[in-house]
Amino acid sequence: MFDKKCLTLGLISMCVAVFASFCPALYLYFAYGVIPSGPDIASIASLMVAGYGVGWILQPITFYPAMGVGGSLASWTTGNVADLRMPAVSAAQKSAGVEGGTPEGTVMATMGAATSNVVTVIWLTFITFIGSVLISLLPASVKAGFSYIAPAIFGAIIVDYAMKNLKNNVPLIIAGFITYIVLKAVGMSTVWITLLVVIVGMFVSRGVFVLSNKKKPEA
Amino acid sequence: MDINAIKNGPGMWIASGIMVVVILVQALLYLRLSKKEADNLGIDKARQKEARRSAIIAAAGPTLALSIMLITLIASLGGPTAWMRMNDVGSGRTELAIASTVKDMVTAEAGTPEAELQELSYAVWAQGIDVAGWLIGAMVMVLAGSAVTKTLNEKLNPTWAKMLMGGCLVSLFSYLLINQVYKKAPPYLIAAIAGGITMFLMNILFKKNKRLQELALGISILVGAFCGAIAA
Repeated sequence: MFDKKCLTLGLISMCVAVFASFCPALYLYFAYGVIPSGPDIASIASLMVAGYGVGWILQPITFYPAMGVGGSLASWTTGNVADLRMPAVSAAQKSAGVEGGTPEGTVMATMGAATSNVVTVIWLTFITFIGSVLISLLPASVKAGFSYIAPAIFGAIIVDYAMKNLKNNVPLIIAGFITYIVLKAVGMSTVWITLLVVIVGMFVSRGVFVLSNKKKPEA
Repeated sequence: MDINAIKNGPGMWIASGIMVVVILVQALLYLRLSKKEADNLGIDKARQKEARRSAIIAAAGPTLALSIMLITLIASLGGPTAWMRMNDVGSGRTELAIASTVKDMVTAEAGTPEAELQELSYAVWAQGIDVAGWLIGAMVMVLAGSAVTKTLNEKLNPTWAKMLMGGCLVSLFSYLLINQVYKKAPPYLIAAIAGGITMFLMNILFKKNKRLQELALGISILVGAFCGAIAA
C-alpha cells in the first residue's frame, strides 16, 4: 500500500517535473521567439539519447533494490543519487535501526531521500541568492577539501557495513572490488560496471545464504 | 539585446523556479507519507527524528561540495538555469558539457547577440531533454522494478529476499568506494581510509551513545576530507 502511494505521488510529480524541465526553453520561445528547428531538436534528442540513454535506463534499475519505490523516485527527481541520496538513505536506516529490504527499511529510505532533497533545495537556493559571495571568500585549501568528501563518505559507509554484518557484507565488498577491477581492466564503461557489480553481489549473497543454511540445519 | 540580462531576468527566474517548487513539494509530500507509514509500522517518533537528523548530516557534506559547481554554472549559464539544474537531476558537469556540445549547431553569426540567444535556447532545450530522459527512465524502471520486487516477495524465502535487497546496497557502496580511489591520486585513498578509520573508532568508542553515533558519518566525512586535503 505504501509503495503504491509512493508510486502515484512519484509518477504525478515527475510528470509535472518533465513539463517544468522545458519551461525555460518555452519561456525563451514565447518571450523572444527563439527556438531550435524541428530537425535540430531531433538532432539534440538523438545526441542526448546516444550520450546518456543507457544511463537513463540502467542507473535507476541498478539503485532500485537498495532504495525501493519512494526512495528511488524522490532520488531520481533530484539526482546526485550515488554520492548524496544513498548516504542519506543509509544514514536514516541506520539511525532508525532498520535494514534495507524490509518494509521499515523502505519507509526510512523514502524519509532519508526526501529529507536530503529538502536539504539540497534549501542550501542551493541559499548559495544561489546569497552564498556565492561567501563561497568565493573561502580559502583555496578549504575548497580543495571538497574534492575528498566523496571518498571519505564511501570509506566510512563501507566500514560501517562491514562492522554491522561481517559474514554477509565482507564477501560482498571484496566481490564488488574484484568485479570492478576486472571489468575496468577490460575497458567496460562505468554504467555497465555498476550494474554488473550489483548482479555479481546478488550471486555472492545467494552463496552466503546457501552456505549458512547448510551449516545451520533447520530445527 | 543583453544576453546576461535575459539569462538572469525575472522571466527566467520564474520559468526555472517551477522545477524547484515541484521538487520541494514532492519532497515534503514524501516526508509526510513516510512519517505516516513509519507510525503505522510502529517506528516511534524519536527514531524517526533521529533518522531525519542523520539524513541531514549525511547530505550536508555532499551538498556543500555542490556549491562550487553551482557557482561555476552561475558564471556560465546564469543564475536561474544554474539554480534549477543543480536542484534537478541534471548534473553540473553534464549541463556544462551539453551547453558546449550544442553550441556548434547555432546558425547565427558567432559573437552576435542573436548567436548568444540561440546558444542559450539550444542549451536549455538540450538540458530539458536530458532531464526528461532521466525522469522518464526512472519512472519506467521503477515501475518495472516494483513488479519484479512484488514477485520476489511472494515467491522467495523472506530471509533470502531481505538479504538480497540489503546486499544490493552493500554492493553499490563497494562500487562507489573503489570508483573513487582506484587509479586516482593518493589523497583520494587517504581520504577514504581516514573516513573508514574514523567510522570504525566512532562505532567502537561510542557504541552506546546514540547521539554521537548519529554524528559518526558527518565526523568521518570531515576527518576524511581534511586528511585528503592535507595529503594533496
